[in-house]
Amino acid sequence: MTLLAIVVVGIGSYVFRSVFILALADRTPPELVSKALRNVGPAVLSALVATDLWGPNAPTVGAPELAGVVAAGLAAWRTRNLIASVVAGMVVRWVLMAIGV
Amino acid sequence: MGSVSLFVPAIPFAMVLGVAIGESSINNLLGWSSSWIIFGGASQLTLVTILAAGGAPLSAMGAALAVNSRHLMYSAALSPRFADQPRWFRWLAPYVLIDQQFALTEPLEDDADDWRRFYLTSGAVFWTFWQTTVALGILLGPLVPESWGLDFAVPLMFLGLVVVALNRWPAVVAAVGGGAAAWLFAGLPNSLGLLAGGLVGVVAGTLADRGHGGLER
Repeated sequence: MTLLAIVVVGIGSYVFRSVFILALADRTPPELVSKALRNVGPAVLSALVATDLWGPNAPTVGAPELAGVVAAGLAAWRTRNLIASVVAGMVVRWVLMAIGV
Repeated sequence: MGSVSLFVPAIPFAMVLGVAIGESSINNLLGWSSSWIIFGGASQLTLVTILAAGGAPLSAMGAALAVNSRHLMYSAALSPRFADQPRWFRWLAPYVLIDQQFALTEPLEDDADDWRRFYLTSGAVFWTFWQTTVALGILLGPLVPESWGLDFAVPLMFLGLVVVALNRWPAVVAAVGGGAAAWLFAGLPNSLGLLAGGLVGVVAGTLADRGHGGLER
């Protein structure tokens, strides 16, 4: 039964990931649709950040985490470097937690 | 290489999943098989957690599928990139279309052959790392002390990816709208808040695009 559940979720996930690629790759979408599709990345990934931080399974987010998020965002904006951004966010959070904020 | 640095924040997540499988009543090999059958950490964790807690298989499957339904939007967003791609690649590529893979490959403006090579390489790297680290999590248990809070690196990584890719005004509106709406709806179960946030963000960004006549920054 567990194996069946895993296989069903596996097939379903593949269908989610493949359906538009297989159905739409040979068509040129209308102008409005292609404009909308260019916004999927920033919209969904930003929503993913918010649910990772505040969703049902998220850990408690306090001042150190908020400061870490701001630091990571600023670092990403200034340096355009992903590693620098994650390191900045983690370090700010650790420092604030260590001094008991 | 980009996909390696993106994978580092996913290691604690793989460990969490591995530990959840190891501690559950589910056979370890069967639990690990979800890594290559499903290949999606959040939905694997949802499925394993509900099944291990004695939940009905139907509701476990429904919840796990709901968590992965955001990949529908990735599929739609990437579909124009597959116009010049061979058939075998259209069938193979969706299998590895996880969050990191989408975030890494979507902004690239390479020509079709370069983009396909990059997609395949980074997909193979993610896939191999994921199978290995989930297995390590099952076998070795919680190696990473929880007090380090390494799972905090996951949202930071996606935040960095969003910010670095913001080069158009509508994308900024989409990101701010999507994040704010997902925060508002964060209490909804099964990633519904994530879906709602994503939809609000796409609509907001597209409206901004029309309002400004596609202003490029």
